[in-house]
Amino acid sequence: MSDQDGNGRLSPLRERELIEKAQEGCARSAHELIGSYQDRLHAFVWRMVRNDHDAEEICQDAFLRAFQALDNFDFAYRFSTWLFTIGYRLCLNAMRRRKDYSGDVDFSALRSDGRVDETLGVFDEVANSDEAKRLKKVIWDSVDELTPPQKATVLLFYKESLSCQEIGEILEMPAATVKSHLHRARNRLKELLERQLVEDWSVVRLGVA
Amino acid sequence: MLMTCRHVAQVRDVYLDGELSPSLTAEVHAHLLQCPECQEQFEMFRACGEVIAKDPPEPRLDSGFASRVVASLPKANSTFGTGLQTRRSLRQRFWRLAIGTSVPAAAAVLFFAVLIWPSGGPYGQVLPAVYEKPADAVQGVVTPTLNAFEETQDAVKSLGKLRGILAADVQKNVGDARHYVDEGEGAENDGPEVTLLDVLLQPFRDVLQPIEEQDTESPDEEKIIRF
Repeated sequence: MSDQDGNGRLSPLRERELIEKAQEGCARSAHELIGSYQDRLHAFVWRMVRNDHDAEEICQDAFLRAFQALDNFDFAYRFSTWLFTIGYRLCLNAMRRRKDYSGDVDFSALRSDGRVDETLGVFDEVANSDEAKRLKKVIWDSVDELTPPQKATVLLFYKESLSCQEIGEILEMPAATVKSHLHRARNRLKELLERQLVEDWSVVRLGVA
Repeated sequence: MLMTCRHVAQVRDVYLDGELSPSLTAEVHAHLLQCPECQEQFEMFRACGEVIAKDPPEPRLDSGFASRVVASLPKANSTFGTGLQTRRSLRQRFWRLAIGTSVPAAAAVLFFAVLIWPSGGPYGQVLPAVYEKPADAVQGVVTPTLNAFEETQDAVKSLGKLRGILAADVQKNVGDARHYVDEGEGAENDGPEVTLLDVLLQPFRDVLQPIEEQDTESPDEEKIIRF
C-alpha cells in the first residue's frame, strides 16, 4: 500500500505507524510526521493570524504540544484533526493577546492589517489577468473580514476539504454549529463581494486552475 | 414548475455543501440556466471556494522547520542520536528498574529473616520472649512455603517418572532398529540413558537412522543412545 494518497498526504496506516514509532522515541518518525503536516497547518494558521512570526511560533508550539502528549493520542481520530485543534486554540490565544478577538465579538467592521499586498508576489506565476489578480485579492480580503470561527470553518471546508463533522471535531463544536458558521460566512462574503461590481467571476476560476 | 430565486436562495447552502439531493440539484441547475442574477451569485461562490482551495498565497515554512521542532523535543535519552524520549518510555524504564531491584532485595531480606529467626541462632538466643510471637508468625509463613517446596519436589519426582515412562516408550520404538540395546540390558537400566532429546527427536528417527547405525558399530556406544 502507498504511504501517501493522491494529495501527497499520509495514508492512515503509515500515519499510525509513524505515531507509534514516535511514541517510542523515534526522532526520524517524528520528523516525517512534522514534514507531512507542517505546510497544511502553517497555511491554516497563517491565514488565521496573518503574521509570519506568529504563524511559525504557533506551528512549532502546536507540534511540540502534540508530541509531548502523544501518549494520550486516540487512534480513533486522525492526527491532523488533533493537530489542527491544538493549532486553532493557539491561534485564538494569540489573537486574544493581540486584542483581535474576544469571544464571539464580530470584528468584521475592522479592516485587515494591510498585509495582503505582500502575498501578491508569491503566486500568480501563471498568465493571470490583472482583473483575476484583483479579484483574488478581493476574495482573500473578504475572508479576512470574517470572524475567527467563520474563517476557520471556511478554510477547513474549502482548503482542507473537510466535512462539517470533521470541522466540528477540530473546532470543538457540533456539526450544526459549523454549518451555521459556514452559512453566515457565505452571507458575509456575498455582502462584501457584491460591492465589487464584478462582471465575470469565472475570470478568477480560470486563473486559479 | 421551475424554482424561483427565493427557493434557490433557500437551498443555496445545502447545494454548496454538496448535500442537496440529485433531483433538487437538477432543479437548481435548470433555474440557473435561465436566471443570470442567480447564476452570477453562484459563480461568485464557486470562485471563492476555488481561490481559497487552490490559490496559495501563504508563505511556506523553511526546510529546517521539522528539524528545529524535533531538536526542541525533550531528550531524556537518545535512541537515534537526536532521538527523543517520551514520558511513557521513561516511566516504563523507571518501573522496570524499580521492580527489577526491589523484588530480589525483598526476597533476600525475607530469606535471611527466615534463616536466623526461629532456629535459636546467635540472635534468637538473646531475643526476649516478646519476639516469640513474631517468630511464630514467621513460622506460619515458612511452613506453607516449605510444604509448597516439598510438593514441588514431589511434582519433580512425578515428572521424572513420567519421563522414565516416555523414555521407555521411545526405547521400545527405537529398539526396533536397535535390537542390541534391549537384549543386553534391562529397560530399567537403559531408561535413564535416554535423554529428553531422544523424546523430542523421535519424529526425526527415520531420517537420522542410517547415521545412528554407523555410530552404534562402536562397542563403546552400544548401550547408549545419543545424537
